[in-house]
Amino acid sequence: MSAAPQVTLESSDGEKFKVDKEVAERSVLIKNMIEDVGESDNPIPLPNVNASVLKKVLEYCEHHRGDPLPAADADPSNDDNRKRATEISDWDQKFIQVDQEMLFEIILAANYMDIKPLLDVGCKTVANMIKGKTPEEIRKLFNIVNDFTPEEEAQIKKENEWAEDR
Amino acid sequence: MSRGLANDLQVQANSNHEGVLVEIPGSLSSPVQIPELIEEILSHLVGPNILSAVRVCKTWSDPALNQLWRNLSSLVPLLSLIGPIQCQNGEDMDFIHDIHGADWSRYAFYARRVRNITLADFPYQKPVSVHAVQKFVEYIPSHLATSLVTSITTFSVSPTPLPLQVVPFISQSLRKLKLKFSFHTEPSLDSTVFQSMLAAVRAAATLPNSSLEELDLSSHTTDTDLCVVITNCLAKHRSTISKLSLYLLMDHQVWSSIYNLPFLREVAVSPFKSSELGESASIIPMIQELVKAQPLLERFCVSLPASGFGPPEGPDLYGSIIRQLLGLHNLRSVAVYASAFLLLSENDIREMGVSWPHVRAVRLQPHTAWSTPGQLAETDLSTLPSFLRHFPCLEELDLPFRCDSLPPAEQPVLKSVLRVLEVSGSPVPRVDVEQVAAYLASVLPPTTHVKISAFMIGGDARAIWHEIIRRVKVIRDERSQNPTNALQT
Repeated sequence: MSAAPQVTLESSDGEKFKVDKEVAERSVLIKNMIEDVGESDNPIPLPNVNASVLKKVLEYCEHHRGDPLPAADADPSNDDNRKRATEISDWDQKFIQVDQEMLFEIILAANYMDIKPLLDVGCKTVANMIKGKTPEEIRKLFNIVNDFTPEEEAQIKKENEWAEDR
Repeated sequence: MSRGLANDLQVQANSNHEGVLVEIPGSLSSPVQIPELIEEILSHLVGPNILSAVRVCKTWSDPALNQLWRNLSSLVPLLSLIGPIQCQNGEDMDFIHDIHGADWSRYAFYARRVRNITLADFPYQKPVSVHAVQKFVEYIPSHLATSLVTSITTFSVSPTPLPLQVVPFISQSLRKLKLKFSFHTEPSLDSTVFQSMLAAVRAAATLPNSSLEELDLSSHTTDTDLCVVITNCLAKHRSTISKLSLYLLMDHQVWSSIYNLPFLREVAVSPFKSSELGESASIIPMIQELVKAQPLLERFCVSLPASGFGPPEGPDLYGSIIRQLLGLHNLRSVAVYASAFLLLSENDIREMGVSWPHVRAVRLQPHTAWSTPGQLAETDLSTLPSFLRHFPCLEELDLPFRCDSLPPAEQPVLKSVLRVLEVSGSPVPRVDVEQVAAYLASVLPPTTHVKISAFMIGGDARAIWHEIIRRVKVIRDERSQNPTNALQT
């Protein structure tokens, strides 16, 4: 039996990763690139992802290599149901237990490389961090400066307070 | 979403890789600074948690508001933006002041974010009054009258004319319109609800272009006028409708217009009234025509009324309906609910499996007010392996089985992908429950979940089938702990 076809990915800091094509193609960006230019021995550059993040992303893709790909024509109303289900599988949960900087890097990489299930895991993790927190606690958590005037904040609170008992 | 962001990224040619274009982002280094990603994160939250996010900072506020206003379950938040609104003297919600000359800028700021309106007139939630909606329609500036709402669903459990409230939101951007009413015993109340449905469907029928993808109407009362507006609505949205659900008495015009929807893939109908007996058989030529006109249907559901106090139909009704449906080779899901004896032989099942190679869900449930549950179930449990063998994609089977005797246990059909076997409506077996459990455990794949729907009426049969399900679990547990014995047994 012949070996599985492989591709080489190159991180922003020049490190090369040789992986099975099937694993790399969990990324829609890479899948489209390969379809566009055909198979090639040249490394595929990923100038937005450094080696440590790419290694982590590839670990995810390797673990989920056999998963069914999300349907392109999925019903958007089902998409809402998928999002509301905030549970994350045990393996994914362990995988995403990283510091905040790495978590953010993974989300950016998943978004750039178009790996929807990984983006979901990352975003769900951040959503869980936000749950139950006041605006001030969220600002502190992510080091965000409040640029609302007190009047503006009071106004926006008033116009949306109906959501408090949703 | 990610594609949208990708468009914002700066695209540069990279000469290292044979001219492949790669995307270089700007200086954005954190997902909590990027509106598209903030919205993605917040899409996993609801209500009060999003409200906190709205107030974090200006960058967060806009995507958080998109999430917060995306799905509304009341019109009160929207109408409150124009003027104070409250219940007066126990009546429905109405404006406290006249809204003539109101500032509509706040309304414009929020309304553009609404995508789905789902209204239900639960007793604890006071609806907006018809008067308030009329005022709203009278004064809304023309440039705001076309909203971006893509989905409207109303569930009416009491006689409040909710659909009238959604009329102002029925615009060209609408994709789904669902108006569902429960039965009202008082004809005058039924008539109020019916009039409001008429108004909503008429509004959809008079839009300039075809845009509705899903139309779902359910009403106890109909008349010629409603049938005319439904026919007009289907004609108007002919080139976009893919999903249609009509649970109302319909005339020939409405039924025929279903034939002419070129992109229709899903149909659910309940075309007769329960008070009119003897109509059920007339469904057969109707289905025959439908199958001829719409051979590519992927989902089909027909619900025929329980036959009041009369006797149920013989097994021929179920058999005739199924024979007509065998022409739908693209089916993914089929459901037939009728007040008739349900008897399927091995041959019937084989023929169904060959005709429906892609079917994932089969639901055939006889229902009746005439007999006790299970009395109409004539299909023998020994036919279960035929379903497993002849339906390669079948994941859900909802069918009542009778069990007078059992053949010797078989090996499980391991290639079957059946996830759920629903046995609601099955009568009390005439065979020992232990034997039934052993039979199910032997023929079903180990992952099939045997269950009884919560809707099944209580009684002996329910308790006995619960016991059978419990014993199936016990047998499976024993087998998984001791696989060698399992092989020997």
